[in-house]
Amino acid sequence: MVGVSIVVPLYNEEDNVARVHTAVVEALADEDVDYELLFVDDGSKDTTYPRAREIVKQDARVRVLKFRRNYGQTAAMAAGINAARGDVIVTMDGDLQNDPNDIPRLLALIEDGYDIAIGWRKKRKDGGARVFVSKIANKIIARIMGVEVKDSGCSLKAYKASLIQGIPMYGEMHRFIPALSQLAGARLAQIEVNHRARQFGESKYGFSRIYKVALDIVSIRALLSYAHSPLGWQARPTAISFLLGVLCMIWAIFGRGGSLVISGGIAMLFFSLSLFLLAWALIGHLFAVVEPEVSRYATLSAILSTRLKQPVLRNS
Amino acid sequence: MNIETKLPVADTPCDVSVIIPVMTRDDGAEAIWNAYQGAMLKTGKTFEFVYVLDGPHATYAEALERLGGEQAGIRVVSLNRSFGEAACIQEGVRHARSDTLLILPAHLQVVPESLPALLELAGSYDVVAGVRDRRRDKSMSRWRGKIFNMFAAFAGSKFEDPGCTARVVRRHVFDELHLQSDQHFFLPLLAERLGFSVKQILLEQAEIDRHFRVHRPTDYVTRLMDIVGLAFMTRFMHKPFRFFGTIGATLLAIGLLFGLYVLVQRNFGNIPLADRPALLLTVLLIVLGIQVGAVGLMAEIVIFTRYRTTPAYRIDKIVAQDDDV
Repeated sequence: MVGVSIVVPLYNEEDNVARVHTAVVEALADEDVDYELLFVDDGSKDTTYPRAREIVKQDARVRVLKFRRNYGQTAAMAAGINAARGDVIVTMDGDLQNDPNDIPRLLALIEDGYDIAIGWRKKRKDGGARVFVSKIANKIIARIMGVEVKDSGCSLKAYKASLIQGIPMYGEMHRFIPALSQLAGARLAQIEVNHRARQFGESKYGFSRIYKVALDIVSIRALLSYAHSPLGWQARPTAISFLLGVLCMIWAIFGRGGSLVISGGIAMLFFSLSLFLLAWALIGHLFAVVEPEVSRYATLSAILSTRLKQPVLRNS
Repeated sequence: MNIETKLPVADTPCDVSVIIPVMTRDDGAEAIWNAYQGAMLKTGKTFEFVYVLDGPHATYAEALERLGGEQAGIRVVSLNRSFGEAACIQEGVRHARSDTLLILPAHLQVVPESLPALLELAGSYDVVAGVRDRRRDKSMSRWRGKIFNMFAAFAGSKFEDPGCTARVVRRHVFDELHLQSDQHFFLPLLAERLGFSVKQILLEQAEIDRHFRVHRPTDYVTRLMDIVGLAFMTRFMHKPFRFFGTIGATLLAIGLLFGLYVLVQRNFGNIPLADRPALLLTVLLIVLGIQVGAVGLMAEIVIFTRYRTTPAYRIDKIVAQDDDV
């Protein structure tokens, strides 16, 4: 039985593999934990995989999961998390910008009863523009999701395995897991972690993210309300659109002056929208019935939300 | 293939199975057989031919019978009606006995002499796709090919000449790859997405392929729809709201701007709102934007509920010390 799984996605990090391994081993040397280190090779084109395999030969605690080709960081994280055997899962970047020495502190927080412990890079060692973009993205996420996550882009996080392994991860989901799970009632702690400049290799992030993040937030919010209530999640827009239709109808019949065609037409449009939304809501319900997994999410979030009475947000 | 029917097991395995789907376009059974068989004999490998007839091709079947049928290493699979080329290829794969599958069109696209070069690479790659060298093609065909390439590139395909269906595919690729409708054009791309190694090779174009053929307009429409479907699948499958949301948000924004314009005109230009057809357009755009957005959210829900069956990644292997490294 393994206590902690440390998941590290690697993409063309041949210089960093051995360093990550040594750093993690050193960081956890004084801790009384049973851990495994799980490298996820995201289809690297350099010697990352052979080097990682060498480490496996020397250290039984290391495992390597190899992708057939490059599928991106979210996929690598998701695969690593699903393959992890520990009760607690720690994720971190493979470029050593995160400091493995912070892992014991994250683990201590999980021990204290938190479901998720998130690293927060107070002093970031990246280019100014990148920090700026990321700050704006975090602000938007915080505002819309109603969850104050200071730094959603920081990969260094620790989770209870039971919580994270049930969350669907695809697209850009991994950035929203803290926000998602806090909305579902998980207890979340944030601590300041070290952030170091890259020593080797290239940075793999782009800049134009805000627009994509905004779209992702809309879909995640919708998914969340869908998981809560598969039939009723579109109730409000449907009702609003229907009411607008009724209002326009009244305006068309009793209004003085103006063209009946236009006011009546607008009423028809709103009616059609509400009908359309109703139809989609029913189809969404159909999916919930066909796929029992969905009702599991609903119950999961219901159970977790009973803990919401004592919201905890620890900032240090 | 959902229905697994037992096929007579190969008692004489061979090196290469040549699969030839016979569609509407063929260059004559004898000519094709002679060309391909001659080239295969030169490779020194043992081989078999699997012809898949898409719907009734009575004269073609007769011609194959005349050529020697089963004795000559020709096996014929007849579909009772037309199912399309992708279905033919899948059926051919099911009947093929060897692990190396050489899929060739029933019309000459590349010179038969180039087949050995194609087969030579098959050992080191999962898929080897032929690309026609179109330098001596008719300029009209060349341009049409370029446009097809361009659209395919938009769909995320980095492979050239999807129209050239001369390919070598290892059998295990078809364990995971299931072709639908006209997807066989994009077989290299789809295989690559599943993590298989794909290699392109430039082959000399056959003499007979160098003339301009007129396709039906519906063919162009189908091809275009295929590309749109492919683009959606490769780029937005796991984030459909990025696609629909962009369209919806654009419509919504235009609608809101239009509404603002109408409002400004009403307040400052004294044009009454109720008489303006523009108001109808405004509401229409907003409603349309919301509807497209809702479709995108539904797509998200489908992926969300079904994500376990459509993982975004393929694991090659997991290495640990307990197993032999």
